[in-house]
Amino acid sequence: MSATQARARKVGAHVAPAAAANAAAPPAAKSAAVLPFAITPEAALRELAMLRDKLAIGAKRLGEFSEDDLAIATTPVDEVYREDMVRLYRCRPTAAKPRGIAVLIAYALVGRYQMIDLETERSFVRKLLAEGIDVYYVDWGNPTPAQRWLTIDDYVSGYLDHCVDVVREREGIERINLMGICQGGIFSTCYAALFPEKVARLILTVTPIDFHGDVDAPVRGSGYMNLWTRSLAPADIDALVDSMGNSPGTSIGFAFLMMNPIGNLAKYSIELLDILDDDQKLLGFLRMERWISDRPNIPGEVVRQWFKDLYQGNKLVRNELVLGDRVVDLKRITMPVLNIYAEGDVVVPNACSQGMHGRFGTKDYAELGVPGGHIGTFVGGKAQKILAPSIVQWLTEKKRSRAGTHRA
Amino acid sequence: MSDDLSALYGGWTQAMADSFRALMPGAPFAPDAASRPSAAAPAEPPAPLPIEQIADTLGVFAGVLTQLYESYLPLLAQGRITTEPFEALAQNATNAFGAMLLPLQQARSGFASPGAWPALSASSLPGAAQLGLGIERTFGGLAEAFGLGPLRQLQDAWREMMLARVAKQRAQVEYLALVAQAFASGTASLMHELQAMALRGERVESMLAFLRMWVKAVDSPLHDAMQGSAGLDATANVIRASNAYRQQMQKVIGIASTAVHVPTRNEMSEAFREIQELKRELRRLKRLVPAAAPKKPVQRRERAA
Repeated sequence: MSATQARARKVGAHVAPAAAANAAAPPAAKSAAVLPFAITPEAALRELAMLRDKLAIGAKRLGEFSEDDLAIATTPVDEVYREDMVRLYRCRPTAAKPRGIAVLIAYALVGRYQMIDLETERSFVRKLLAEGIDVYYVDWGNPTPAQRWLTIDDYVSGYLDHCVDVVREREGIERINLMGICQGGIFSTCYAALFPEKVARLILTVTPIDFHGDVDAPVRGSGYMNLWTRSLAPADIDALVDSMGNSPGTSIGFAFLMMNPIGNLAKYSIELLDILDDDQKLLGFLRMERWISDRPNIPGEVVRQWFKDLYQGNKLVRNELVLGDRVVDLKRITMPVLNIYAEGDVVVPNACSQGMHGRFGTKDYAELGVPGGHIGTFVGGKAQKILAPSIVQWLTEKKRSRAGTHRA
Repeated sequence: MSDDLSALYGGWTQAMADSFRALMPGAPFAPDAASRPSAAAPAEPPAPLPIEQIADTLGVFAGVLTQLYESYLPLLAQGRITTEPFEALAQNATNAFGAMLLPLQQARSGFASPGAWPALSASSLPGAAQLGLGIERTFGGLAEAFGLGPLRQLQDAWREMMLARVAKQRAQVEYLALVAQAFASGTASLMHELQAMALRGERVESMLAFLRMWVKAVDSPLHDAMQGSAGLDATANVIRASNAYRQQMQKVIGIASTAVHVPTRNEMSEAFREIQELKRELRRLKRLVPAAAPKKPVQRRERAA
């Protein structure tokens, strides 16, 4: 099979040796070459009728799913702390033999925490629980216009610090295992640098540390947010934040759509067509859409600092980021660090998240690449087999190692 | 952009419809206002899952497919499809965006004059009449009651706002023109691939297969266009122009609010800022007072550490 045949088959084309004179005809003049169509009007109309029927049945099917069918983040949890719009949840343990290891997960402000527990069959949280890990996670909530002045420091030194203290107290420990996802990874990194005495181990997933890592290694279709923010003047960002206040969740959703415009057009058209008669795939699609459509607002001052200090100024990796009145010095991160990146990440280019050895103060640094994209890290089939087991193994090894060297 | 879920999905659904028009012989690649879904607000707040919007998308896609297939029937009936209609599509796109810029030029020169106020309500700009009516209903009569000063300020600010709106629309059209070029480039590369297939003796036996090949072909050119300097400049211009329009709109509302003794957005924002600063100060003070801080954890057992 030729490469083109293979490609055409992959996208669903019916490629066959030409029989018709039309198809076999070599290209004529450049301006009017004959194209190898072997489709009769009758065949096209039959296909159209079939597709319309399929779409109509699919639309009807959408209305038949129940709320239970579409539910996401179904792992039972208990709310253990709340402050303003922020909630701290503890997942109810499921393992018969707990490992005595707790981890606090901080998701990003872009999107909601439900991604880590999207579906029962592909829930990162359930996998950790099944391995005997005690799981806490933060729901950052949806800031109101009155909260537009919240800064990154308010999240890190305020909400996150309070959540950490609650976990410390509940678990009876001095230092916790902290895991950050994407933007939550930045928060966790800042937290570990500002409050190292409260963090035992730091796990970063799909987290940009070097925001200019992509400058010398641009990849087609990757790193749009880096490019967009760098193409703006600081005054543009000020005008954006001053005039908008909070960044509306729908605007953020639109920005994500524009990172892969054709992919997203196909997703709601020809790719959706392909899964309409497969309930399992359709439900997976709908649950993901439920998560995608629930985008919270982001406080304006967080956006201002995020864009100017991080995307434009790249201050984190340069140890120049100031939160409150303190500089975030990565060298203060002396606890073990596990940095996990997605090999196919186009939201956070690998060059921004990978190869951070030496950036932190710790000598105990490990890196792990998982297959899939930014979100696929947590819901993709291949990544699911690697992510949770690797984290559990790392935490267990570190715990054993520490027990052997420090507790004696 | 509206902070409304249905607006996001509705906008994207329409973008899908507009995009597929780039593959329809005889249909210019340009936003088709007549075919846009209704922008009316939903009767109830949007559900957490936009299942209705997705169902709507399926309906729109069915319509797109019908138009697309029907546009090819005459060509298929001839039994011989050449690259000619696809080359015409690219030219149509260029012409369409050139045509869209002309009225924006005229609108700008019209709004730039101080005497533009009476013409505003009759403006042919999309949405101008509705916006004018809304402001007139909300603030017009009240502003007059407080004298001509605020009203004149309001008129000047309104004129500036309309200029900013035209600038925003122009930036959007320039951005869309780049998108159209990328679509044309993708279609051209598909034509090359089809010609190569013909040489190899392969053929396309279904319209759906052709559609999939086209979607694949336009992906790379669009990424290249949007990641290139022209695309990034166009994106930045849209953001700048949108900022300027939003700021002018807030100025109009600020003048009207002041005239009727309603706290302005800036005043409210300043109050929120002070509240947040007080909360920060409270947090700082709590750290200084041991009793107010969370209890120091007791080392019960080796768990996380």
